[in-house]
Amino acid sequence: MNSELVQTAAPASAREAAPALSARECERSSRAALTLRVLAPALGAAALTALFFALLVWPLLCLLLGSLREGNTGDGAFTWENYRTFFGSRRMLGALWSSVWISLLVAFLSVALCLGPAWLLVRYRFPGKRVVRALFTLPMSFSGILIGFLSVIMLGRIGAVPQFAEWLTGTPWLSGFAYQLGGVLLAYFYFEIPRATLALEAALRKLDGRLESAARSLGASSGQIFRWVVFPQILPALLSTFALTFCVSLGSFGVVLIVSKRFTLLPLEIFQQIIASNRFPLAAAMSVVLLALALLVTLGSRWLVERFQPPVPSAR
Amino acid sequence: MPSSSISTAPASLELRGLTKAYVRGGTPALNGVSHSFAPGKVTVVLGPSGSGKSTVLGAISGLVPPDTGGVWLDGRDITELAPEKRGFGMVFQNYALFPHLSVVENVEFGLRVRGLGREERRTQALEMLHLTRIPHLAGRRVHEISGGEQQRVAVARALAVRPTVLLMDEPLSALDARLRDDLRAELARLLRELALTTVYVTHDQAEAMSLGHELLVMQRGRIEQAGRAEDLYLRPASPFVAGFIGAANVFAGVERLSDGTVRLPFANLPAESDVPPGPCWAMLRPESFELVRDSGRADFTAVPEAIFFLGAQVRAQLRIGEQPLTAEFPAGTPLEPGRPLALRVRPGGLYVRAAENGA
Repeated sequence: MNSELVQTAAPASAREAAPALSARECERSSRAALTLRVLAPALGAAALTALFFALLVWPLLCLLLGSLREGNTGDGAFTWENYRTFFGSRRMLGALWSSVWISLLVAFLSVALCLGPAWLLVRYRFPGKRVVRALFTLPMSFSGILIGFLSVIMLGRIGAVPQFAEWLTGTPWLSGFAYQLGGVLLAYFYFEIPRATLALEAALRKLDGRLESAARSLGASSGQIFRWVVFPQILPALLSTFALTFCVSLGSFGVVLIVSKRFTLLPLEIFQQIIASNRFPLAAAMSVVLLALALLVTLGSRWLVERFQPPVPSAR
Repeated sequence: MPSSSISTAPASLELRGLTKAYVRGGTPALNGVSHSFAPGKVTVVLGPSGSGKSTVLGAISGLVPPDTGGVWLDGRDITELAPEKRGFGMVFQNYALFPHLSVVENVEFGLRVRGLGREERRTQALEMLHLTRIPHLAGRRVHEISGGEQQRVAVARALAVRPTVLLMDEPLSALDARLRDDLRAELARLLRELALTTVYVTHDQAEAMSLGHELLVMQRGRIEQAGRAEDLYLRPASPFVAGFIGAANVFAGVERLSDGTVRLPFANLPAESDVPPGPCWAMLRPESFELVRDSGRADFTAVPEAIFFLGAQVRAQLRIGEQPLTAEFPAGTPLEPGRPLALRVRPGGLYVRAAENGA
């Protein structure tokens, strides 16, 4: 339309050429823009899909296939033997079982015990709040090895705590606690504190305090408010935090590597099979079991979250 | 709880010298608020944002404990009583409906808290939904219904507990204008039927005038004036009230002369008032002017700068030299921007009050 207008208004050929050219250029550039608009996302999607395959599907497929082969070379015959070995070994099943219930217990403890501090950090103002938050979140950057080592330093056979207790009371209380079940649980819990606190804090921040005021004005006691207003709303966050901390504990290995005198957990057994015994297919089978377990809990919690998720309140 | 309990004598609610500062030593949100609320009537607390009107409601509900002063209910000091033990109903500005519960479960909440059985509370909740005309929404989720419907749920939820006092915090401000007008009329009907002692907070003076038996105008943590809408409109106690209730041309810091006229910036006008000569403030409502043909009888001449058609009236932004003035004339009055008008103030149109300290 633009070029038509120009042609009738400016009959001189010299002036005619320039606008006509610019109109054609304009058309070309708009075609380029269209190409970019359609092609760029398609290319991006293709790249992401490729990346997804390279980073996730391929390695996991190799792991799965590796667990179903004989020998270490990866070209052995198909076999269920590795899984049979795993499920036939009392020691390994014991490690699996310990891993599951320790992770469940730690996840439960993390959610239950970090809810209070998270609530405090979200709802209250108090002097030194930043220090408290740092205390609760800084251990996030500690590796499992470090936490296991700290546990030994503090609660080992000649740890700082038993030494202090001996100086105080004459008896080395808690000597070697780091190697006992309680000590392992404590170290794992310590490992989870920042993760659980941060996840719960984010969920509590989204809670609308006016709902609690409304419940109070309707006559609800603090207990009723928690049971009927707060709890149903944070239940999804509790579930997903539970799943998160469970999976982190299940896969974590640094802590138990240091304190595993009486204990063995599944990640440690996998480590042994890879490093000490060089039995890759068996290690692969064990990894698949570990992975399946984590996936089960994650998807299970996701399903529960979707069931209990309160609908998003209207923006009004 | 029998439904007849609603017909007991309406509660008398009284505030005695309430003060409250949210920050210690900071600007007080309440600065000595005392008032005795009319039992069984709607009292509207009106004021600009930050005037302390929501804090008054907080103090009555118990959610915001006052620093000093007291809240009295039927002759009993309830200042220290926990909010959940007061038995009041409250409608919040954004309704604060429970998102994880259905409409009827929201309305049931206060009854569930009181330990009522499932069937009984369901019956009573449905009764309340009938009262607010949304029984068909009982099973819906809160996020599925409109803003106006949410407002009705909030009202039903507050009424379900058979409150002795009903507190409403800007219950219509989240709605669009058209819906607000409809709901306002319906709310007025409902509140009249219930005859509950109601405290209604708003910043909208039209809402206040149509709903309130009595109005409290607040500013800077104080009650500037309390009274019926008419009193506040015709006899405002301060320039602030004059400007806040309806449109007004307010002239602070003017003087009444010994001949009885008031010296305004643009003219000396006669005033029917017993205000003694001396410093005073004056008010001219927009409807207090009339056009005169004979410019010899005019009080002054003004030039319209802008003209707005309002339906039954035409509003004109006038200018007399440097002095702006708002005036309203009957529709059909021939007005033209820039064409001077000879104007007269109707008899009794100029309102004068002696200047108080600071006014």
